[in-house]
Amino acid sequence: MSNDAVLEAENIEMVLGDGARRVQALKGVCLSLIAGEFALLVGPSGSGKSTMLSIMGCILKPTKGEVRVEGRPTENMDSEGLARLRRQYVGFVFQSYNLFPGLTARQNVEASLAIRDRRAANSREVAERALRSVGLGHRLQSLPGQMSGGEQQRVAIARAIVGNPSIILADEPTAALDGAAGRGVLAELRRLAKEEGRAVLAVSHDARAFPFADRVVGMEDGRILSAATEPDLTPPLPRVSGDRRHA
Amino acid sequence: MIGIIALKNLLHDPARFLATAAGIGLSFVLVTVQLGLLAGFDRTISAMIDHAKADLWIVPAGTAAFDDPALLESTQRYAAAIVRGVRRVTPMLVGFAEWRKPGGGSATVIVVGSDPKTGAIEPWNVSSGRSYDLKAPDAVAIDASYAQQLGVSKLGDIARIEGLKARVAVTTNGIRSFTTSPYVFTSLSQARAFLSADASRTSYLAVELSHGADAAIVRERIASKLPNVEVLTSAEFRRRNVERWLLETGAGIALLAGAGLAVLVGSVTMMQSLYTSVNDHRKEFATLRAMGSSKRFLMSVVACQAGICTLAGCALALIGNIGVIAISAISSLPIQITPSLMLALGTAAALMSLVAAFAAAVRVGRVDPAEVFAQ
Repeated sequence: MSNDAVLEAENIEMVLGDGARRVQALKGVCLSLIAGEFALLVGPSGSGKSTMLSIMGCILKPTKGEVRVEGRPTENMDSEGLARLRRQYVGFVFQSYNLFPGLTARQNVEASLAIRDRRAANSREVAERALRSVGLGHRLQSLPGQMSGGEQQRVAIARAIVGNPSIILADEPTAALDGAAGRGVLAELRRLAKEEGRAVLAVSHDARAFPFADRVVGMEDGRILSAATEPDLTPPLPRVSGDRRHA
Repeated sequence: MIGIIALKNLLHDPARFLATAAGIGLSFVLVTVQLGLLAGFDRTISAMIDHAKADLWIVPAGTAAFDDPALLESTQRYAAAIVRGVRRVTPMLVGFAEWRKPGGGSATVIVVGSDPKTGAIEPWNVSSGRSYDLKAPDAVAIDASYAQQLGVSKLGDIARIEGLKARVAVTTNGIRSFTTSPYVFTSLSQARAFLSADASRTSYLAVELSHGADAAIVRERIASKLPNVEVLTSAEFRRRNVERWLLETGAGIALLAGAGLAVLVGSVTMMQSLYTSVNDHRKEFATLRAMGSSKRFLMSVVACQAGICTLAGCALALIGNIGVIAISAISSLPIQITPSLMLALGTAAALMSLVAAFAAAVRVGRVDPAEVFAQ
């Protein structure tokens, strides 16, 4: 494994269901992320992308294989240990934003701080700074229902980064957005990688996303499709690749 | 922030929050009303015993309830009076009689006869006249709430009890009978006349103890001297009275069953309302968990949410209870909502809230953060 990888998954296997409904969702997948990298995980529905993202985000435990976050093995951690790891190192961006509908943009971001340290005295300022950093300084008091999809996803990004995690995992972050809003969100994710040095992994079906990524990792039938390539920002199209380690 | 998350979670959907609070409030009102009825029942059927000046009661052996006594020999009064530790023994005569209304028609009443000056019991909550007025011949006291039933409307009205003249000399407020027969207070001698009991007979002997006397010892002394009687403390007589009406009559059992059922239904409804309210926000909890929230944090939000719902429900219940009390005050069986009952119910509500919150929190604690990817 790469020494400078902040997130590493090795030989991941995942079996879902049992009996006649038993499905092997992942079949020995290896994937790693380094700081400052924006990687895309692409593939058809049922290829195992979201399962892989959940495992790399320490939300699901793999049936076999090992995940390391900032060099820390997660194999023997219980659910609370994994939760601790998530709030320390991982920020999530969800497809349908998953904002609290009753909380303002600022409160949504503050909630992310609250789960880290309830006693944070300056959480309001920190949350506002995070929202300004994603261009939402004018939306601090807005409720999710009063914002566009793109703005809501930016709130979700602010919520993901406010705890200063080294890893950002995004599940179909542009799926619910129109072209301009989707490009804005992708540009923001890329900025997080390039300017702030975070490792960003996004699952996407969206071809518009490919030009923004350093690397596009293709999956099908629970496997990485093919060998890796160098980062590529050239449009138009996806060059499907696997983990660089397997190049 | 926990409080804000909990509150905003609830207030985001005001209709649902109101439905939850209303569910809890109605459960609370249901339980309060049923337990209040039970408490009112308890107080009503024991009112005579509670208001009597008696530390011990000498009652005919086998007496089941105050309203339905046999007769004692009055001479036993003197045997009891000389027992060491006894300050005073006063006779009381109780019995059913027919009340003939001045305008025609009749009703059954329970005559309670005692000496108006030194007797064991006298009417309380007097609204017109004086208790002492019962010393006059033919004088009786009735409760104003039964005036219409008894066909009288003011002091001085004349009715007949078992054919004898009965003049309304005193009226009271709030002395109700659990049975359909109102109490009518009168002097001991007048009661004997109404009930055709000779002077050697009495229903009860109320015993007042000397200062510092031990009730248990005095009771044993009296019991050893008097045959065919039971000597009971006021608490024992009260308990026997309550048990008789509550456990041995259909109405009492129905009331008791109603109270038990109300507590059960109210508890389940309240817990279900709280549980559903928390479960409605499963998506938010899964998101928090995916973001790395600890179980403790989630449970704190759940507990806070349950607390807010319970408080809102109790506030609604308070308004409902005030209305119910006002309506019941004019009925023959008032709902007795005492501060201690309210405190007990408040504590019970808090406990139910905790149980519901705990059940919901356990479920939330098990929420699969991977759910956020399936949406």
